[in-house]
Order: sequence, then C-alpha cells, then structure tokens
Amino acid sequence: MISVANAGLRTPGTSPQAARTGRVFDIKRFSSHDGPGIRTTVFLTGCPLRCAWCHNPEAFALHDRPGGQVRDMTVAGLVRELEKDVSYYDRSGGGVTISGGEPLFQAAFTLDLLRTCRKRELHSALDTCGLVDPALLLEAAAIADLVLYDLKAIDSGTHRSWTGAPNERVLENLAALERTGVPVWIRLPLIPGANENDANIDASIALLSATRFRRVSLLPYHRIAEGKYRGLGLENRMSGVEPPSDERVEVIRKRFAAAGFDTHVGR
Amino acid sequence: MNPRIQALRTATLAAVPRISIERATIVTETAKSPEYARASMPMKRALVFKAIFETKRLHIGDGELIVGERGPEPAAVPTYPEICIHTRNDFEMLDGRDKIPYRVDEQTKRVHLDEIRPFWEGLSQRERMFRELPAEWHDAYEAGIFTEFQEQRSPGHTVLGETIYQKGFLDLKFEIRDAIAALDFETDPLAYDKREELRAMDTCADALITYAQRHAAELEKLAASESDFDRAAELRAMAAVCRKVPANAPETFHEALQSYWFVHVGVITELNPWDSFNPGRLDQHLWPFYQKGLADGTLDEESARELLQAFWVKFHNHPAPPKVGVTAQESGTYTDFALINLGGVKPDGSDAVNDLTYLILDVIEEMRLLQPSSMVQVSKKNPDRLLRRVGRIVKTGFGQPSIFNTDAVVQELIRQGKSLEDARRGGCSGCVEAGSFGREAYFLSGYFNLPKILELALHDGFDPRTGKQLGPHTGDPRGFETFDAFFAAFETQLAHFVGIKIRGNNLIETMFARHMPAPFLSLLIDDCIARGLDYHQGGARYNTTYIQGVGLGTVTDGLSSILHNIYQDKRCGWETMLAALDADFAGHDALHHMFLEETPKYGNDDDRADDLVPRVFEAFWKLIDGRPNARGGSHRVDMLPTTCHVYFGKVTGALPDGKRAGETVSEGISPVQGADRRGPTAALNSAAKFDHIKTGGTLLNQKLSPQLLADDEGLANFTHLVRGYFSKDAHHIQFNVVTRDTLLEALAHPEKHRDLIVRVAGYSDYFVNLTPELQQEIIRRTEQEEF
Repeated sequence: MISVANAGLRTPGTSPQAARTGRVFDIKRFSSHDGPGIRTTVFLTGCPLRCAWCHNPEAFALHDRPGGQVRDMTVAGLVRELEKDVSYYDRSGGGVTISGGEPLFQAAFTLDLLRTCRKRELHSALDTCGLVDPALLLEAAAIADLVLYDLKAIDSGTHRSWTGAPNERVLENLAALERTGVPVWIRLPLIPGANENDANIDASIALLSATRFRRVSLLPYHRIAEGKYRGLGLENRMSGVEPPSDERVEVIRKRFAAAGFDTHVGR
Repeated sequence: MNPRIQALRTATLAAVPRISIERATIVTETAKSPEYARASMPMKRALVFKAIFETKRLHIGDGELIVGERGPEPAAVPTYPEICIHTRNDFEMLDGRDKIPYRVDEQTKRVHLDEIRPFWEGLSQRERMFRELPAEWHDAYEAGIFTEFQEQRSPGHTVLGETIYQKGFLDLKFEIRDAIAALDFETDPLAYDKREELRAMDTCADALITYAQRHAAELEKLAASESDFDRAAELRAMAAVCRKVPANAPETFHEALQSYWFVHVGVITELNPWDSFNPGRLDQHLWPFYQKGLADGTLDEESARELLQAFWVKFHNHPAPPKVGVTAQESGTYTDFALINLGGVKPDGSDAVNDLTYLILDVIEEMRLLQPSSMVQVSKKNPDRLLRRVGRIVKTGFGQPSIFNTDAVVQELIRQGKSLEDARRGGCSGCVEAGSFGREAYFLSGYFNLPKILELALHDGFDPRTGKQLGPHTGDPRGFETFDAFFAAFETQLAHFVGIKIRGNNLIETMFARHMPAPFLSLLIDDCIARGLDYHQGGARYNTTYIQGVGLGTVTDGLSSILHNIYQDKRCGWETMLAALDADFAGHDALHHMFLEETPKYGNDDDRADDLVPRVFEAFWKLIDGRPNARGGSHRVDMLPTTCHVYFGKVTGALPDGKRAGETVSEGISPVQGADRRGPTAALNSAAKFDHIKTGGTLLNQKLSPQLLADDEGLANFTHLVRGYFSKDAHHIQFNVVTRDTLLEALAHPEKHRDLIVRVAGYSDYFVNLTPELQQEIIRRTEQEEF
C-alpha cells in the first residue's frame, strides 16, 4: 500500500485547494505521445517503482540535477502554465497530461489538479504506473478524461526484478479500471532484455484481449535519459543497451494489430 | 516528371550564371541617340524598352513550351548601368568567388569597362541618390543602422493582379488612348507630363507585342526545319500562342502562362526591380482557363502539369541580377524572390482553394527548385487538408512552401486603407510583405537595425565601431534611476534614426519618379493608366513604403537583461554591465553566463521577457506608421530580415543579452538563435504577443525535426500548431525540416549535399551555398524536437 502523504516529500498544505502545492520536475509543452492532440505534460516527483530504464530519474532522485527544474507549484500556478497552450489544445483535441514519477504519489495535489482541469474544461490524462491505492486510482479515474496505464511485465517476478515491485496490484487495478467507463490507453515500454521478448508480448496480448482496452502504445527504449543519470550521479543500469530495432518494433506492433488492437508507436 | 521536363530541369540546374552585356549595350546605344536626347523622361525609358525588345537576341531552347529569356540564353544575366555600374573589382569578385559566382568573360569585361562604364559614370541612379542624400543619412547608413533597398535596384516590389488574364495589350492601348483623350490641358498643369507618361506606356505595349511576334516568327522558322513531326506541330502551336498573346487576352491555359511570362520578362528587363516580378495568386488566375480546357477537351491534368513545370523552369532560368560593391559581397543567393501565392480567399471572401491549388503543390514538390518560391495562404475558410498537403511537402525539407494567414493579411491591408475586395485579392510577396496585388506599389525601403539603436542608447548616442557621435546625447545610462528612463533614451535614439530614414526615403522616391520612371510596369498596375501617373510616381491605387525592423528578439532580450539584472533583481550595476560590454565580455565570463543563461528570454512564453516585445514594437511602429511617403501614400512597418541580420550583427557590438561583438542578431520576429527552449508552442505564443495586424508582414522561422512530421498524427499536430498560431492573428510561419546531423554532415562534406535546400529567411537556398555565418545560424536555430 502506497501512502498518500509521502515520507521525504513535502507534506501538501492544508490551505484551500488552489493553494496546495505539488512538486514538479518538468513541464513539457507540445508533447504529442501522451494522449490525443497537442498536449502539455507535467511531471511530478515521487514514484513507488524504480524501473531500470526510467527516463525520468528526477522523479525519485534525492536532489535536483544541474539545470534541473524541480520546483513546488500551486495548482493555480500550474494551471496558469498549462493553459498557455489552450489555442493548440482547442484545435487538436489536446490537453493536459499528468505524469511523473507516479502522479498519485502526490495524490491530493493530483486530484486537485484533475478537478481544476475538469472545472476549466481542460482535457486531462492521468499517466499512471498502476502501483497505487485502488481507491485513489478510481477517484482520479472518475475525474480524468483519459488514463494512460503502464503495463511493464505480465510475469510478477520479471516485474519485480526490473521495477523493484511485484505486479499483482498493477493487474488488480487494471481490472478495477475495466469496470469503470473511463477511456484507458495501455502503454508498453519495449525494453530489450527485460520485456520485449515473445513470451511477455504473448502474455500481454492475452491479458489485454480479455479487457475492453483496445488502444496500445508501444514505447521502444531510447537513450535520451543517459545524460540525466550522469547529471544526477545515479547508476544507469541500462548503460550499453541498444534500443530495439525498427524491424523488431514493427514485428511486435503487427502482433498487437493482428490481435485487434489500435497500435501506436511512440518515438 | 516526363523526360522533357526532366531535361529542362537538368539544363536549368546545370546552367552557370554569367553576365551578359547585351542589355547594357542596347541601353547605352539608345541613350546616345538624338531621339533619346529629345525625349521626355518617360519616353526616354520607353525608347530603351523598345530598343531592347526589338533587337535583343531570342532564345528558344530544346523542348521548351514557354518561351522568352531576359538574356541571350538561360542564366545569362544583364546589368543595369542606368541604375548602378559594376567596377572591375565587382566583376572579378563575382567571377572568381566560390559561392554564387557570376561568370564574366573578357569580352564582356572589356565592353563594360571601355564603353558602358565611361558613358554612365555620374549618371547612374545610385550616384545621383548618393550625391543628394545628406551627411546624416550617409553616417547612419555606413554605421549599419539601416540599409537602403533602392541603392542598386529599382523599387518594383509588386505583384500582378488579374488584368493580363482579362485584357490584351491592345485593350490596354485603347485605355491609354481614352486616358490621353480625357486629359485637360486647360486646368491640369500636369497634363503634358501625363501625356508623355501615357505615350511611353503605349510605346512599351507595342514593344512587348513586337517581342512576342518575333518569337512567333522564330518558332515558325524552327517548325519549318524541324524533322520531328510532333515537335514541329508543337512549335507551330507555340507560334500561334505568341501571335495571339500578349496582344490579345489569353483564352487557353497555355496562352495564359505564356502571356504572363512575356510580361514577366518585360518587367525584369525594363529595370531591375526588387523581388523580380510575380504572378501572385496563380491558382486563381489560371483556374478559369483550367476549367475551360478540361471542359472543351483541349487540356487534361497531365498537360496542365507539364505546362506548369515548364513555367517553373523559366523562373529558375533567371538568377537575380548581380549586385555591386559591398552588397555584392554580402549577398549570397541567386534567388530573386518571386513568390507564387496559392489558396486564400476569393474577392467575395469564400474559400479560394481549387483543384489547381493541389496540382500546383504537386509541381512545387516535384520540381524542387529554388525559383520560383512558393507560399500557401491559409484562411480559416480553407480546409485542413490543404495544410496537411503542405506539411507533407515541408517534410521533404526544402523550406517551401511558407505558410501565411490570409485572415491576418486581409485585416492588415484593410487597416492600411484598402477596400475589402482589394485586400482579399492580395497576398504576400518577396519574403512576407503584404500587398494588394495588381493595385499597389509597395516599396521596401530598407532594413532597420533595432539592436544597434540599443547599443547607441547604451553609449549616449556614440557608436563604438565607427567612433562617431551618431545619435543625440541621451545621457549616460549610469544616471538613469529607472528602467523607464533608459527606455525613453532608447526611444529618443530610435526616433532620431527613423526620421533620417524617412527623409531619405522620400528623397529617393522622388528621384526615382523624376529620373527613372517605369512605364512598362505602370501598364500593369491599376490605376496608373487612368491617372496618367507612373508606378514610381504614385500612379498605383495604393502606395506604401515599408521599413523592415530587424532584431526584435535581440533587442527584447537586451532590454530584459537591463530590466531584470540591473533594475528589478539588482544582480549587477550599470558600471559592471558597461565594462563587460566594452570588453566584449572578455574576463566577464560569469556575467556573460548570467546574461545568456539566467535572464528571461523572448521565445519561451515568459511574460517577464515577452512583455517588452509589444513595448519595443509599438515604439518602432508609432514612429513610422502613417507618416507620408513621396507618392501620396504612407510608411508602414514590416518585421523581416532576409539575410540582413548577419550584416547587422557584424556592425553591432556586444549587447546585454549576451551577444558578442559581430555575432548575428535575431532574425524576423524569431527568438535569438537558441534562446527558445520551451518548444514550438512557447516560441509561437511569444511571437504572437504583439499586434501583427499593425504590420505589413512578420517572419517567423521554426526548425522542426522530420520525426515530428513522420506520421499522420504528427501531420495533424503540425496543422493544429499552425492553426493555433494563426488564431492569434499571426502573419506567417515557415519551417525548416532537416536534422542537425544532416546539416553537420553537409558542412563536413558539402560535395555530397549540393541538393540540400534549407529555409533561410523568407526564402530557401542551397545550404552549401550559404555563407559560413548563415550555415552556423541554421544549425544553431533551435531544433524543436519533442521527446
């Protein structure tokens, strides 16, 4: 069970909701793979997982990296920033994606942010790793317009060895989402040596085929974060790993497509 | 592309530009004639025009469908000694340089130096202007505060409307006759001047008809000796076209293109007008002929495509006339800025996109030539698929077509006083300049170096580079208690030099009207015939003079540095800042880093910096907009640089934004190269924070990596990005889609990347032909990659 008010993170204020602050480590505008249309993705610190391939180690690092952007923002201040690109959301059907880390690691803040987005008619997507309190997830899913749900490995042992935690809770939460009406896009990182093997792909297809979720984004491993690890002084467990070839990604995509999924490759 | 077009394309790409002495010789011989001596000024020009088109050598290339060359053969470029005269050095430099050479053979050099130059020395328009312009103008000009467009080219800068597709030159001659008949010598003191101007127009009309008839005769001769039966028939058909147009109004697609082309050659031969000449709204002008041809079976899509492609080659056959002096050294392009307009709205305001729009886009994509340049007007009434089609061409990475916001352009033109319909018939030419096509003489007068004004304000009006007290004493900045006091000094310097520029413009315009009328061009632009006035004299319905602001990003960042570092956050004092600037930041690394990396910058949607943009723009705009020019019209503002930001950077010292002496200033309204780091939407939002509708054009460059346009989703987002920017009344955006790696590779191995075309600034060019500074800049321009 993941606690809401996290140790090591600043306790969210008790002031009115708009004044509640969350810890943000990046805001990426014109992101186009985190939901429909042109979006702004906000990255919150804190994560229950330690995925070996994590592209956003700022989320769990103990200090900021040089040139880093970690800061505490109020919901109101953050929304002001997010609304700067409304002209582009409007035309593209885009909006805001809340990512991390695990956004529900700062649950009170994330829920406030989602509620504010709803009130202000901003399309919102919650990008979650799934290892969260089911009640919180369902509460967030009821307010969000879209959930992006990570599925890292079907075998719990594999999941544990690559992310630091087993996946039972992740799979239970996915099943819980199945019973709601919120649109869910499944996201599969494709990590050589970890989960892009045929067994895991087959298992993923089998599991997802039994759900109502039909949109699958394949996210091939890339090395963009190498510099971040250096900057943060963290060990990069993926150093030396080559991204999967375009051909391999296409083979996997075709298998999902053949199973009836609407596939997308995020590069 | 069929074999014929392939051959024509290969030939035009292989043609090496060379200087032809033919025009200069004819002009000089004519100017020595007794008839010329007796003639009024407009008639002198008409006699020159007549002599050229009655005697110049004709060229009909193998497989050509559209005929007419300015020189004796493709890429043979004439000189215009009555405007400016090349020196021996100019010729040697042009002939010998590696990039953008113009070959000059010994015979040409000899004739020029022995016969042309001695005759025109002292009589050229350039010398005439420079003699008359005051010392304050020369000082500012030499210091690099502004440039002057008319110092070696005639104003021109206009775009044809629909006239020649509806009327033949014989019809225009009737109009001239009516206008002469209507002259009132009893009450109009200018009646004689007007009659001379109208007679000159009439003579020019005859001369162009003669030129077409000469082509017809030549084509018939070639047909008679042509052994290939099909080509012989084709040559006879072409001869029939030339017999008919431009004397008569065209009735077929082929006739319309050929008629325009003769007119084009006429305009660019009469004088060397800026931005050559331009058919403007090509998909609109040709649409009736296309429809009619399809309906009566005389045309199909493929033959229309072939004719358009042959037409494209004709533009490419005509490199820009080589310049003289420093300008020749500085300017590195063969492009002459003819900008074909597509899309937009009809005069009644409805969606103007038609099948031909898409066919012409195919031609642009297939031909992949520098000239003509092309743009697409996008109105909210145009469909998204137009933008998607554009995105697919942009993705191929040669910078064309650029994209314009019709709804903004129409508002701009209406604000300037054009009628609603005339505004909707308009578009943009050159780089981004708005105009009412066929009805407006809009002269670009020169680039204005805004960062240099900041430098002067920092030095109490003193220019460190030339060592002169150029501007008024506005005070030592150390004495300014507030940012507003400093800004007031900046405004005083700005007002001083805008005044010098405008006074110079009015003098130059008057001198062009008096000494260098353009009766042929006047035939084509409403209402020169009706008014009996030359295009250079206010004959057009609308008369605008643009001053083009350069370096908005650099000035904004410089002012932001002063505002934040000195006044708001007090991170450094004036003493320190001025010392660092004087030392060009040598030994001031920490301060340089602070200015460069820790100061709010324009281009990041950060109001701390962006709030200064409208302030700078409004200060510039208020000083210029509405001030009278010499032709009964007004001065207006454009924000575009072409390549002048490189030159302006060279003559401008270190600035508080972190610019070192000599470094390039920002171009158009784009952020300082590399200063925008928050993605394209942030850069676009910053750029839209001042009122583009008050301008006659703004230029924004965006570099995108090809991955961004890789799939349909990317293409859709590209569309939304443009639409989002345009929803803020933005004027223009253009995209460079090449990877940084490709550019670095091209730098290392230019020989392998001769075909790499990039968007420079309002036009595209071969990357390997750019100066090292421009190459570096293109590489530096933020690559807005999303990941």
